[in-house]
Amino acid sequence: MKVSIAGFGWMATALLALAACERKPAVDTAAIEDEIRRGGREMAAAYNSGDIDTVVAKFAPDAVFMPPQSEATSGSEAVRKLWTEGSEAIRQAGLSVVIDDGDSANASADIGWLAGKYHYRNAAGQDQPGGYYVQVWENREGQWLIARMIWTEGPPPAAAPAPLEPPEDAD
Amino acid sequence: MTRWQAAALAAAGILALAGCGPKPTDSAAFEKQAKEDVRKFIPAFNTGDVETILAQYAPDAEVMAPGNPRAVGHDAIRALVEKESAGMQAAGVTIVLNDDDKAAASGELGHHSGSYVVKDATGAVVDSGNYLAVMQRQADGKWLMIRDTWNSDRPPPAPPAAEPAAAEAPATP
Repeated sequence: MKVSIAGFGWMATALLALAACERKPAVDTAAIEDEIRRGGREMAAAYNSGDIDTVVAKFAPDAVFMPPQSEATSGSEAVRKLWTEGSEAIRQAGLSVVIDDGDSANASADIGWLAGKYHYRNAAGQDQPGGYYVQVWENREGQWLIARMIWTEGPPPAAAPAPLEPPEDAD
Repeated sequence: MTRWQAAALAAAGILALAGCGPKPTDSAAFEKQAKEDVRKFIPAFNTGDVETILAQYAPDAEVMAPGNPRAVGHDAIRALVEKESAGMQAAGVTIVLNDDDKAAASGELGHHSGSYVVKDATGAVVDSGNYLAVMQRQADGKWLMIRDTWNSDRPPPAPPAAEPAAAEAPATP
């Protein structure tokens, strides 16, 4: 019964094809979201402590960086300069950046994003207004790196009581 | 099995495989849509055409406008856009996009960023800044914004301590 064998063949092929279609892609987006969230917090901690190498290592070489009150820039050297100046300024003012809870993240294929709010904390432990941030991450040859970053600035943060000089004097 | 039956089986298998798996994302098509969208968005913002703007946001989108609370969902975004657009119209300023925007997509997500200037009625640039939107492909295939923010790249206004400089006074004939 050649015909029915061929018929079975067709059915088996169709079933296999359906099974293959039903299977989810092997990408674990939850793990990527965790990695992005962790990366964002590691970056903030490194920024607070002046560990600029760790901050810069989170960025793709062609990352576009859109800080408030300053022109957009791109490239590792420009990113390093901005982060170095920013980190020095906040540490001089006795401030640190705190990433607020309630951020959101998502990933699909080779793009992920992280968005939320941050605020400043002064040396006396008082919270100061901050703003929003959005980071776009991209999978670059297996490594998730920031390709775009923007944030907004709240009112100028007040330093800890009786600062020696105005907080920002960069440029 | 005859030869043609085997060939048909192989063809069916290849077709099945082609139809499976994640659909490749056409980043160029995404870029085209994102760039077209923003060029409708800005004139709509300038004139207060809120419906055109809302049509570009997913129902659960979050707009993180500087100096404003998060606007989550269409109702909150409508209120924010109405307020901001009315404020700009009252101030007699309009937003003009620069042509430097970039967009890319992968899977169900894309991002679009660029810069803008704000001009007053005389055409003088009074502010400038950057924007970044995260977009997600919806069930109907259209890409909508799910997160959106922007900022001014101008230095903060100087503290009003020093005496006003007379440098900018127009020369009187």
